[in-house]
Amino acid sequence: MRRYFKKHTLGISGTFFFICIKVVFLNRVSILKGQLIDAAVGKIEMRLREVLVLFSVFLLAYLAGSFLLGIIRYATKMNIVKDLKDDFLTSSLLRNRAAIRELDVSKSVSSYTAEMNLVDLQYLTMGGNLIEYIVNILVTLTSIALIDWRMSIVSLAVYVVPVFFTKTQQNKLTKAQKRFQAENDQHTDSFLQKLKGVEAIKNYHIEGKIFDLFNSSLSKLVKEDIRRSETRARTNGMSSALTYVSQAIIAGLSVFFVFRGEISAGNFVSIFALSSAISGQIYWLARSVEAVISARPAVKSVLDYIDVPQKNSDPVPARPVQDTSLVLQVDDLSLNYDDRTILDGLNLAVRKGEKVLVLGASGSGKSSLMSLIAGYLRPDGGDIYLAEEDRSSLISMVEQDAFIFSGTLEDNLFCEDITDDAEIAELLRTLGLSTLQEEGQDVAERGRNLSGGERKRLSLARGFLRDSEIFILDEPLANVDAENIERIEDLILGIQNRTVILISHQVSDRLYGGVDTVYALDDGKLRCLKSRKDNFYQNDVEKAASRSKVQAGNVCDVGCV
Amino acid sequence: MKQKTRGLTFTSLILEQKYLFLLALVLIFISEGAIHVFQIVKGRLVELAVAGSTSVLGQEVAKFMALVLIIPVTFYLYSKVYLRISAYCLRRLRQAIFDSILKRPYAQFIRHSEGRYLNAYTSQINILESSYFQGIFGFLQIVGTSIPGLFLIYAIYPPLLVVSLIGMALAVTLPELLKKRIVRLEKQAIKADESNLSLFNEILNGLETIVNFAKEKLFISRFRRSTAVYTQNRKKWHRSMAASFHIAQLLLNVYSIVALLFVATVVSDGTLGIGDYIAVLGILFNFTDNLPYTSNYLQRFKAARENLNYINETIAYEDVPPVQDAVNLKRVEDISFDKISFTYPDSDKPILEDFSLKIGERGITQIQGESGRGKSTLLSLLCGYYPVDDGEIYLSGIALEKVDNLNDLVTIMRQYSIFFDGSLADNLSMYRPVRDEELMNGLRRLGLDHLATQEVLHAPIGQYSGGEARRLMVLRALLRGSEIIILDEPLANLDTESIQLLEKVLAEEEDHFLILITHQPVSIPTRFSVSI
Repeated sequence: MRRYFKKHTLGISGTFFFICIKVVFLNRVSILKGQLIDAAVGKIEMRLREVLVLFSVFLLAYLAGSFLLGIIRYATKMNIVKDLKDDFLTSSLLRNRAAIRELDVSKSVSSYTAEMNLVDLQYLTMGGNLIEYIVNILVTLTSIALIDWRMSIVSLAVYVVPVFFTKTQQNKLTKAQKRFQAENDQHTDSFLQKLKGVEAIKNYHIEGKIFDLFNSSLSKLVKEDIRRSETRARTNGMSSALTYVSQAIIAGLSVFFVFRGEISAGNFVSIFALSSAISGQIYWLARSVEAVISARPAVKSVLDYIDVPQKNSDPVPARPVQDTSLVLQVDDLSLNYDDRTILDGLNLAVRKGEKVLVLGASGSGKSSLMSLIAGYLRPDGGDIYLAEEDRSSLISMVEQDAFIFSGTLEDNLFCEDITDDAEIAELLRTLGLSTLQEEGQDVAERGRNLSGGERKRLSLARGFLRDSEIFILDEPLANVDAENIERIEDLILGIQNRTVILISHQVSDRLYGGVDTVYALDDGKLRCLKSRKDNFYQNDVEKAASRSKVQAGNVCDVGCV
Repeated sequence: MKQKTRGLTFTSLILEQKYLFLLALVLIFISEGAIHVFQIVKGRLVELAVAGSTSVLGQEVAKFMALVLIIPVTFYLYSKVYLRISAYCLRRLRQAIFDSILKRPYAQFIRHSEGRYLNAYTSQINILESSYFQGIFGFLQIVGTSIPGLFLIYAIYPPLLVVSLIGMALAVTLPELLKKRIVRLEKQAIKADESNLSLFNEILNGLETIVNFAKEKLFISRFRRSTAVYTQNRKKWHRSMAASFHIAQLLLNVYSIVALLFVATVVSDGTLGIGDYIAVLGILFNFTDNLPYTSNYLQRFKAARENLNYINETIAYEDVPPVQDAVNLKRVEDISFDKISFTYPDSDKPILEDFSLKIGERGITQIQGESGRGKSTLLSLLCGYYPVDDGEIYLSGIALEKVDNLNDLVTIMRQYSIFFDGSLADNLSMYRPVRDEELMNGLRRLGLDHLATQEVLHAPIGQYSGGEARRLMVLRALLRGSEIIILDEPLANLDTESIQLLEKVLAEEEDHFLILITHQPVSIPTRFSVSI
């Protein structure tokens, strides 16, 4: 948190400055109020007007200080919250690729709302108030000390106790808060999940069951909430007890001193007035200490989220390829998921400008292989060599279910760098998307107002508009109707001077014939089915058979280069 | 517009907890009343101390000590009871939101974005908790201190009651200052919060796509703009709040000085003794000091009404009027689309025009067509998500909207996969009791042998590949065995072998109306094949 405070030093010192102004004037106002009472009762007829004027001046000064304090304190807090929110998102986007795949979206959303709220309202707001209470108490103690130093020491002792009491409760508070937070995360998670499944819930008529599930999750949350509130009620009670016990102690001691004639009756009244003036502050002091302590787990959780390893600490580093004619080389790659072996010592080499097709049954690990190459997954063994270290500029990947953003069609194409409108229009026409562009209708959340095929083609357009060395296309033809299949195949086959890696479970003869190399992914290894260089395949009949069964062909170890 | 859910109000929420609320009120009155007595006893102690009389001092000290015990204990109980009320009210709000999401027709569900539901459910509830429910906590303390205070003031010197009431009236009317501005700014802040949360949710869901295209910077700057708008909004809102609070404080301070001078004249007259004077001043100052906060609380409650309104608007949906002479269909003999036309509510492009189709026999019907031509829409209409603009859809000759148990008759499998928390078995049976053997048998028939074990079935759901998830969704739909089963692209993302297995399974479902939307022809006998 310190770096955020450091960044907002100006706001924080401004806050501190105005706290002092406010508290000093408040102190003056309270004292003048006492004098006003004396004057009003007529003891000093002459001074009433004078005191009234002074009182008004100090009151205005106090109010002005207090107003400015309010503004600057709030603004500083909001600026810190804004920085935290911005960093929260930035760290989501800039974390290394393996961490992106592992990111739990619902948990992040829950943290972004619930925990950020605690940081905002409890930690920062109450923390800001805490400083004011402390300054206020110090000033009052000084005033008491000016009257009688013994009383000020007693008062100090009395005021410090509630803070220490809350401190002793720290473990309990933190524990209750942590439990609540964990429950809240789970609850938000389950809410989000159900929000996404509303259609299925309705269709299967399981509203009752889902409502039961929701209610049991909610009950757990409420239970933790009540448990947490119990600790708060206890601190409330204790701080209140301490407030009145402290008043009683001060009163008792004062009475004792008055009896012994060590304090005059007038001073006695002043001490009494001062000590009861801040007795309310003790309650708030304890409350804000409690708030700050119990918000600490949330602060820690938010900061931990922000401080994940960033992009440049990629846990799956790509090494530069040795052979400069290659853009990608994979050596002895293996991946396990649970107890299943997905990839088992897989080898692959892709030349610059080569068009590679990887065929495989569903669940054979095609998408996992691409995720490994793109750095989203950590391999269990083996090495990946790339022509460039920075994957994001080297590789352009179109996922099987690419995300569609709400906004305009152009927003979704990420094409603001491309100045050539004709190029975009041409591509959209080829992909059968120009009517969508002409209609100019905005794309709804998750592309809900587009058909499955339109979403697919839009994500392909987004990919093709990017000028990177390697294109990875995951099932580019799924969900696409016959008419568009041909156009997309043309587009893919027409790509010049770029490397294309296609993965698919099934392709047309045309695409099969058009690419340079075809592999089958089977039992965690790649088998070469066709290589243009070797002219491995001459027999069309054999080719067709192998495509549907993925069984023919010789195993070649390091690709078919 | 008729609304099915009655809007929630703060009063209705609290009335649901009326006994607890009454208890909280009693406790806070005792606690705050005791504080007043504490002040009086303190005043008396001062008098005794100054007079140096020891005879009654002991008695007063005992009272003093008793009060020191009563105040914190009742305050603790008050906190405990009140915080419980607050927790229950929030639970009620959450339930109301979720309930309305599940109960509204699907077409009305998609009218709001996910961000809106999320905002209502998380941010707005958080704001209500901290600004409204915690506000009431403090407000009741003030009410608790003011009312016994008024009684005491009345008991000591009745005319002072009038003075106090003027102060109260001031405090209650002052929040009207700048009220419009604050309410407007609160509304803006809620909107800004919603769009920020929507953007956050969207970015997080599309994270991989953004990273794939190296567009992190674009989205970061977009997000920064969004948080900046929210921050600006809130700052403006707070400036107005602070201004109105300080104006109230100024006016109320002036008022308290006037009140003080009034009391002073009474004391000078000799109507009041010095002890009463201290007691009255203590009570009066306690009272006037609280007035600006009273104002502030009232203002916050007014602003909080906007948050509740937002939740209410999210909860609200149009009631579907009960259909006269609705029919409970046991068996569907045929499905017929009779010259239907349809345009989406928020669009002007007709999707279907004068479309007719009759499916007269059970078995597989395949619907093919270019994407965007309305295949999915047709099936949404069959599910009754939207009313058709023209024409009619009939099941066994009965108009669709007259079929009472439509949801039991139709099952739809969409292109995306949804899993719920629970085991794989729960997700396949959709929480109905289905025997494990039946589930395992289904899994094996679809080539998912590795999932067909007791352990896997009853373990929490795992991660599935695209093709696996698709087959699980198909199995879920088939297991329900409803009269009409709609499968949207069941073969996409599947390899040849899986397609053959699936086709075999589908071909056996002769006793249902099985409607397939596919872009690729299936190699099993179909009863009907339709192109749109």
